[in-house]
Amino acid sequence: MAVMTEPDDRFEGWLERHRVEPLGPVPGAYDRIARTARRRRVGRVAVAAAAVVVGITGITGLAYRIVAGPGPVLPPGTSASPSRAAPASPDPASPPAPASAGSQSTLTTSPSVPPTRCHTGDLNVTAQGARGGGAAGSEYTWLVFTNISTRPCSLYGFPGVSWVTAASGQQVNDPTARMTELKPVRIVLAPQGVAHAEVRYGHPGAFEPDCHAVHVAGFRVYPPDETTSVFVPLPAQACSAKGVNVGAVSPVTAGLDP
Amino acid sequence: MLREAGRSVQEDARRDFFTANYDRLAGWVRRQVDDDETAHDIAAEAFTRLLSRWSDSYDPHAYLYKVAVNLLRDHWRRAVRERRALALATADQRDDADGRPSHGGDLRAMLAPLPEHQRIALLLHYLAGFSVREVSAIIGRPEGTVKSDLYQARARIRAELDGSDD
Repeated sequence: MAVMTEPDDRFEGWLERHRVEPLGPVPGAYDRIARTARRRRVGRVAVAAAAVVVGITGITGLAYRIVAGPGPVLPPGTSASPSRAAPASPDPASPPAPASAGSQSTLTTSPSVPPTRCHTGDLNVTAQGARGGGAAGSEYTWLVFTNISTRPCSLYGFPGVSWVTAASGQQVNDPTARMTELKPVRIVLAPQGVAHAEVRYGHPGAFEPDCHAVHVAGFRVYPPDETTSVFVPLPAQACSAKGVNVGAVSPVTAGLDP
Repeated sequence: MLREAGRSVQEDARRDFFTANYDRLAGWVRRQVDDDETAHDIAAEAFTRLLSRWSDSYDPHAYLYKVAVNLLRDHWRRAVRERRALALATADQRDDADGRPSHGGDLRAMLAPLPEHQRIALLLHYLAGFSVREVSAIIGRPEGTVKSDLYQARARIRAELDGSDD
């Protein structure tokens, strides 16, 4: 009662002394940055194209894959694992060399790597509340992937996730963004094995008036690198305004431990 | 023709965003590095990465700081390694904080002992002004964890302040 000095006062005072002072750019900084950014964008497109060319023409062993299943062509609006398309980390200082794209193709098509990628048809995908709960103002949901095939298969990367109005309905808002600061790990699912990816959204109410919340029926989910999606029911409200509260999805993680 | 117009609108949006956010980002980074040049380097690299994938970034402001955080982490780790190497060569010569109090030498000295995630949460929340939820989205840790990081960071700074200048 007599103590008038809150302990936080010192902390606040300390913060006050260290407030950020703006530091203006040197002349011409924007143009230099924009130029470099443009070069990198072009570089990335070229590398992706090179990877596809290598994938199609490079290795004869690939013929079976072309027959057996869809190639690594990305459907619009979904995400493939970072090794294939755009890098997962916010960005490599320089674009990956075409040589590495080639070696990755070799790796994925090598006949001696036993478990092949889990295809959409090998998986049962369900939604459940995240273990360990969410946080105030947010919903954390787990997409649980179960291998329902009779062989082990592997998962690597981020699933493509969007809200939809119905099982085969329209997509609402942009696809969920990736938590690029989390590095994907390649995991192998035994038959009946499970893995999960965490999806986080803010409560739409917190994003009004920009959100334009609408009713959605669930998620459209593309397992990593797959071109076929599954519908995962989860009735909810979601923001329909482009880019508002699109949420974030983690890489697929083994098991069901948080 | 339409495409030209569209492109220049995009271009304007990027330039406006740069103009509106560069100074603060560079100033924020400056609090955590030794000189203006390093701050400009990191800020410029963060903007370059943002602009090179502008269309995918749903929240450019958060993305910008996310990249800057990653670059700062790299910078800190490099600095720690270099300092360690230096310390081997020259007994115990510590970075002196007194030289530039106006640029946050004292801030860095105070933050240096904090675990990296606490330091980053504190910098994003208290210095850059992001809400707990935004910090959680930027660094990809749950909000509860961010809150506890902030709490612990505050407690340590307070203890440090109580212990030092009385």
